[in-house]
Amino acid sequence: MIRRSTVVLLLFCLIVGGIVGFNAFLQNQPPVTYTLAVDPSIQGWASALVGEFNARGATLSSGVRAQWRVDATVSDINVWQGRSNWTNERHPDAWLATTSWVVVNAPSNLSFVRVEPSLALSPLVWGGFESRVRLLTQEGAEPFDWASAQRVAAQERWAALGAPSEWGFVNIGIPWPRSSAAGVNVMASMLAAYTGSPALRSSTFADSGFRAWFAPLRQAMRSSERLGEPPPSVMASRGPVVAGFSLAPEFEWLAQLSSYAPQDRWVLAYPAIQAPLDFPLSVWQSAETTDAAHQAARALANFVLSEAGQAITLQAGLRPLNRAPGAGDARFAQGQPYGIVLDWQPGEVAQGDRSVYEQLFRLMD
Amino acid sequence: MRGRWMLSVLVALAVLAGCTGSSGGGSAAVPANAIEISIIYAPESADYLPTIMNQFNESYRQGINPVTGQRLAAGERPIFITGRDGSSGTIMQGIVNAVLTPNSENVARPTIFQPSVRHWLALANYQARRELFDLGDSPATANAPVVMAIWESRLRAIRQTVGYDDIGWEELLMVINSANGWQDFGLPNARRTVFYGHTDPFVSSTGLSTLIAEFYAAARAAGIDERTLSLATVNNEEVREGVRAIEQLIRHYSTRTTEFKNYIAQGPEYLDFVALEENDLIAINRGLTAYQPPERLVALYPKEGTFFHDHPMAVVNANWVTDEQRAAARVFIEYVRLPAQQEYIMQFGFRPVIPGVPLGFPFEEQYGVTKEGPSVLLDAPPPDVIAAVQNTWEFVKKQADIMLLIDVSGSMAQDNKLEQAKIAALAFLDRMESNNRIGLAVFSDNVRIEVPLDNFETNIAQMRQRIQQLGPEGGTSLYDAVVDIVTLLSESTDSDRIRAIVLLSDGEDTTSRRFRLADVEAVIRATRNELNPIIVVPVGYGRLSDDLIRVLQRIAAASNTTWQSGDPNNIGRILELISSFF
Repeated sequence: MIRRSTVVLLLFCLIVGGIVGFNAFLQNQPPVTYTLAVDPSIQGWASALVGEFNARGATLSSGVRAQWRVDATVSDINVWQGRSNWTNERHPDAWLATTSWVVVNAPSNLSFVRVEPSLALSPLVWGGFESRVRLLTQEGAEPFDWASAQRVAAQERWAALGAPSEWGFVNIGIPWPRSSAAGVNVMASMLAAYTGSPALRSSTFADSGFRAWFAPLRQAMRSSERLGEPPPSVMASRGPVVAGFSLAPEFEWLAQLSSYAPQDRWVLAYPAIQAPLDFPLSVWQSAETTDAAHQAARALANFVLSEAGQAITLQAGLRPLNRAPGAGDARFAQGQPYGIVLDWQPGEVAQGDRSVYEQLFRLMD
Repeated sequence: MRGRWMLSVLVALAVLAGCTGSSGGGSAAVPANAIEISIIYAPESADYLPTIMNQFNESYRQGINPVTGQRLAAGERPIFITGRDGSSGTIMQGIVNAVLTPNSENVARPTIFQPSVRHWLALANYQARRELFDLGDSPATANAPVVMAIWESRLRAIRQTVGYDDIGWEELLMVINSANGWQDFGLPNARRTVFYGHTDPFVSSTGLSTLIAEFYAAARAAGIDERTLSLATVNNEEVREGVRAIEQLIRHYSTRTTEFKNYIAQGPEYLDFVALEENDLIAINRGLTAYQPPERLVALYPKEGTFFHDHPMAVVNANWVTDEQRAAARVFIEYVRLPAQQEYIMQFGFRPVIPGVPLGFPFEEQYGVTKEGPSVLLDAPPPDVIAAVQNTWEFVKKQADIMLLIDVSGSMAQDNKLEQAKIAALAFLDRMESNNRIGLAVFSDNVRIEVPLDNFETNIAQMRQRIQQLGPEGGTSLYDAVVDIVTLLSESTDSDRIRAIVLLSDGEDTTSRRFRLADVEAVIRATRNELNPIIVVPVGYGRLSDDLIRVLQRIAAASNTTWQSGDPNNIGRILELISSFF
């Protein structure tokens, strides 16, 4: 007779063995790969995050391993404008956008649900060659911001401010709003500076006072459409002959500082009313969407917000949500002498509805 | 570290492969499962891009990502790139055609297009009425400002005369408008006339940038000082007249800069200044052209501003480019912009496009350039204005009187030479611009005017007919024929036209009774100091004796041109090249 306790033991062993075997079976299954759409401007950061996430391995509740693949073929602006060709049948599993308003105002046929409202921050930063900034700010008497930019733009030429004639026209570099969400953010910051309020209103565009104020700025603006790449990159390689100063996301300035050997030093400053990039993560939501995709997106967000993810974020020149950059974070430390503030706080943030962003998008047409 | 080391070895191997003639990435086997992409690049990039493409492909073949230097990750597919060069204007049109009129003769479907300057990308979007290229995402890959390449003695003369160093279009126009030309600028033995040259603005980036710069200069001279050239200014008659006046100084045109840099290298006798990319000027001063320049050419960065040709690489937004090719193209572009590649590209006279690559060889004074480069840039006009500038070309460009002088002596019957020459001459006429005047003369024992010089439209049908009827006969009165036609052209009182003779011959002079070779040289040289000296472009046809080559060289040298060697296989191409002079 087999004793009862032996039967229990055998059953226990069978169950444990089954669990272990099943787990081993799952572990040996190929991981499920999900697609993460990102704007081309953040492909490097996203690829580094995903690379590390995949290397560490993440197992979903079903026991299946998840990994991500970055797809940087569609810009945020094209998604927002309905030019992504994403459909219910063909779409990424998640979208790491550069800024929230493109997700909030995305076309209605794109059913994304936010997993995390923000994974990092990159404020807009003014940057200019010191010689130009000194004239712009009247030797530091005025803030380096839209009001002083407008004042020098209205003069058309630097010579009108006492500079040598070879400085030529006042050129202001900006990301192009037609192809870059950051460009629309720059326009939002400008509109907020004119009204003195972060609450952006459509009615301002019809204001003749605004149009007159904006006209010289528009004339002076040299967008990435003409420059071909982000203004900080062109300013670093070709100098003030391209643009005397620019407004661009902080990470684009920091990307240049490690190798920038200035003849004319840069000065960096933050506009009073911000329109920072905030990098929300969203997941595609439809009848076919599995819970596993949500779990995979959640796991990715958790990784980005973890210590390891934050380190990668800092290396990309972006600010993690959980802590301010420190003196040990090389990119930010390199920026400090130029004006980068480690414990920067957002303060007032410009925001509007879809119609405001539509008009900002077309403001340079 | 190990990955980087392996990459270095691969790079060295790939450079060796590039040096041994493997080019364009196309000669080696494509790795299994590779994403294949293609690029069409500007002609000047042919100096360095094939080697870079080979490095890129070789790295993937070895299983290493060339950008990171790391082994390919699981699932990461290799990329394989092939490419070729092409004139920016021609390729731009080919891409537009591929979208709008895919059955056209000129159609191009690359993954990446790298023109010399981004004017072409904006123009393509404008012509195609869609965003064929994302203008905000077309990174620069090699910087070369357009400079006025001028002989050092000429620049020194201008500076000494005006009393300051900062020279631009304003001072060049002073020389041009001066009654005695260079002689008023302290060069008593120099020509009174000023000769200038640039390339075709429909084909060549330098030609297009230069024509836009001429509009800016003429606008300023007319009192219009605008930040960005406008349509109103391009259509302003006074401004157009100013551009026309500048174009009057053209000695002759050329389709591509590749040929032009050889012409200027002949020295100040040939051209006083010419618009070139800075890298071409460096190449001339380094002695990399067919001629060794008799003195140093220096880069004049016009004080009014110039354009940077930044060789943008743009992925084509068209249905022949897939999403994965688009992503792969971005990897290649990133690779070209890495410091190692930028240092390599710099050796060919291009400024790096990223900070942190210090400007070194060949950016040295001995090669005629300054490290600082231009201090003022001109604003690229919007595409509708660029298109308008191009469309003014037929009104502002210098027109030409061209006599086609064909040898119909008995020897041209051998090897079907005359029949081949007739086909080539007809092709030459096909390429001729309708604003020129043309005529036809033939010679054997005697010279005969078959079609007197007249407007293209008036003459073209008759010229075609006469060319088709030509038959071989008699001896070769080469010298008599050239002198007669030079004399005929020199009697033309129209002072604002290029005057040229295109001479096609296969044999030595056997029957001239009135003139000798020295007379030919003298009669050509006699026109040298005129505003429009007569240019004789000899094309030696068939198997040529050394004696005939020497004769043709001397005739060409008399008008500072070069003789061309033609045969049935290349005669069409040579005459096509010559037609681009006018």
